Amino acid sequence: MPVIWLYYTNKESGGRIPVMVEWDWNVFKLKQAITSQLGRVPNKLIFLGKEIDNKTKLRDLHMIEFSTLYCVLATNTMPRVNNTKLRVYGSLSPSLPSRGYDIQMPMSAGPLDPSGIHVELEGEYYVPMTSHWDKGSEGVFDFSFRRYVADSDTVSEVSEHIYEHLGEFSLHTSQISYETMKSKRRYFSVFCRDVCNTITRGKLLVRCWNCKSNHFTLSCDPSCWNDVTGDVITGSCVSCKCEGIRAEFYFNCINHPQQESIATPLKQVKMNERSVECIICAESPDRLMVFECTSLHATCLPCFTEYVRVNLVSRLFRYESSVGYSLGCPAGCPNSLITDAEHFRVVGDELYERLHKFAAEEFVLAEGGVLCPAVGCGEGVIPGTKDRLITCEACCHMFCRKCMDRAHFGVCERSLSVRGGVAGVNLKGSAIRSSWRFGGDGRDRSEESQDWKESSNIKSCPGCNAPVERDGGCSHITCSVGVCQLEWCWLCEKEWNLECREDHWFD
Amino acid sequence: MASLAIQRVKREFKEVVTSSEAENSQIKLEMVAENLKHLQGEIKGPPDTPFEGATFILDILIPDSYPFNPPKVKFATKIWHPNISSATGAICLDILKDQWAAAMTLRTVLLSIQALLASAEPDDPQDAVVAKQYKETPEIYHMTAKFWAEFFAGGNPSSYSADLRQKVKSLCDMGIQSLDAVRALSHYNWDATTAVESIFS
Ligand SMILES: [Zn+2]
Ligand SMILES: [Zn+2]
Ligand SMILES: [Zn+2]
Ligand SMILES: [Zn+2]
Ligand SMILES: [Zn+2]
Ligand SMILES: [Zn+2]
Ligand SMILES: [Zn+2]
Ligand SMILES: [Zn+2]
Repeated sequence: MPVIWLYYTNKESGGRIPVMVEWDWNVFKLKQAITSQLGRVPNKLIFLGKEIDNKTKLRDLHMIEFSTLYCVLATNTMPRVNNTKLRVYGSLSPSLPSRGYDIQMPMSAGPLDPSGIHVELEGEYYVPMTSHWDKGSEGVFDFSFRRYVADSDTVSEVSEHIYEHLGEFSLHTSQISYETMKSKRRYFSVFCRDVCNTITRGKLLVRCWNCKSNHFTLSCDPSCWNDVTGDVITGSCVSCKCEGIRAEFYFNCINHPQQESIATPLKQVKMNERSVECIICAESPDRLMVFECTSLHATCLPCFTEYVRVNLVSRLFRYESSVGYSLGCPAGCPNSLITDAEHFRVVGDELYERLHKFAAEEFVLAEGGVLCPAVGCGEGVIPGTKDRLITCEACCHMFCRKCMDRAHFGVCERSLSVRGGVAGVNLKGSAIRSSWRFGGDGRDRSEESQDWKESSNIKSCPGCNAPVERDGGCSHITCSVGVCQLEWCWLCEKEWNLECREDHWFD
Repeated sequence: MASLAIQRVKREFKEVVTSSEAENSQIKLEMVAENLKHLQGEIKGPPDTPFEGATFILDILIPDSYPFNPPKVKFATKIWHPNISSATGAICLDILKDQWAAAMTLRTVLLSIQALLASAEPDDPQDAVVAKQYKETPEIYHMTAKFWAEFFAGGNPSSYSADLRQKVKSLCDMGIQSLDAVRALSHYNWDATTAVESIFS
């Protein structure tokens, strides 16, 4: 093999090495050889005072043995930009016309990492579903593309794997334009509470914890959510001339950055950088709500909103003491409860208020309290463990804790059944959906409590008095109020027991 | 109907039709009167069960809030099973109730119902009479379930089916409808005298 001399330089170092070449190679192949020898990526190759082009064959450059080539090494592998346009020649697939493609390539991941490549061709976009970059075997692209047609909702899969040899590609470094794609840029999502009342794009800002001045320099940049929400990062303030003072991070809504407004960050709303599909509608939007289950299931924001709305209205949130009253992954995964209730603001003020009311009630019940049964009240009361007669502080109604009726003397006849009786019998999974029938503000139980007593489809749970609506299904009801979860019989209105299982005709 | 519900049902329709289970004619899904809200499912009785060889029709209603709420599914074909009402076809299956998850599809629903046929849960019954029979006299349950599968769902006939048919016929000869006859006989463990008494009392 013939040998040529390569002079290389960058900011820190330089030197001269011999490189073995073949005259059949094009410049791109030569760059690969240099990369593997130096462990650095050549940015530009200059021969006879001119930058040489990747496509050109060495033979056509009239290079001879021991020719000298100058090489400018890329500083720190590649420029630090997120998305770069590269032009690729050659056919990506037999089914695609052979011509040049503009490829959007994230350079931050390292040179020639094809993950995140976007091919744009006359209004059609090809986004790789799976990609594999095999550096060892002559650089084989192995893609399966998803095809998007502009201005249409149709998505079809171009499922064949596309193999392409690097030799047929020509990467024009001169044509790299460091144009960042606007739509794909990463940004924080916030809920703009004051003005937009929706999920918007947020700007992370920092100010002095002491004097709230923005003339503040951080000692180090935040690298994760904990840095932003905690009090670990410090800096120096120009206004109050403090050094090492705590930095206070906050968010602003991008739609009205000058205005003082409350924009709360939504940590689980993330950029969709890998074309992940919503598990509910299979769309692949720019932003996703990502759940904290092990599979990291995600939904689009409209599906998330509807998911929250339906589950809130049916009171299917769960109360867990460590998290509070919350909702998990729509695929039903364990340990996936949303930890920050701000995410639930998507359902609008009225329902969000109701969420807080429900949460407060669940808390009262979890703490061993009861809800006042007086018409139109519903105040949570946490009485002493021995008190049978309870007086509601909000409405002064006095009631019997056992039967939840008006206060009465003597022994309570209608005591509610003791929980946990049917030992050793598997009763799981037979709950029906129950729903509280509240009006919009969650306060007008008065009128509604009248009609739910009249309707045969609605009964109250013998464990906690929550109204339950049955829409078909068996008589075995599991109360959906988080702390109650009493399993009871629709027909007997008592705790579910052996007799219920064996003796009733269920229909 | 909400556009998401329509979009989902269309997609799931395709999923069922192109599934390997549909290819092996284990499950089937059809529209009722070109209406995506009302569908008809079909499942084959699983092998090594009393339901082997039988075909069951399911009535499926898609709520507007689909997929956030489960589809309403019941058996249109009569069936004798502890978790399915022998009278109404209502199904006691957790995923059709509180264990429903928005990521589930009509295909998973059909397959879960098929799986329910293969493994009954008598402790959590929809039909208490069937469940009691299942636990106390499993041979009679097996015979009855097989007879129902044969009589109502085109299942394979068994050695005792001629005998049972004769009992049904004797009740029909008294002017009793055949469905009522089968029900009463099944309810009273094929004791014709008690069955007749229960009908006329
Ligand atoms: Zn805003
Ligand atoms: Zn300051
Ligand atoms: Zn979605
Ligand atoms: Zn999940
Ligand atoms: Zn009160
Ligand atoms: Zn009482
Ligand atoms: Zn309850
Ligand atoms: Zn009962």
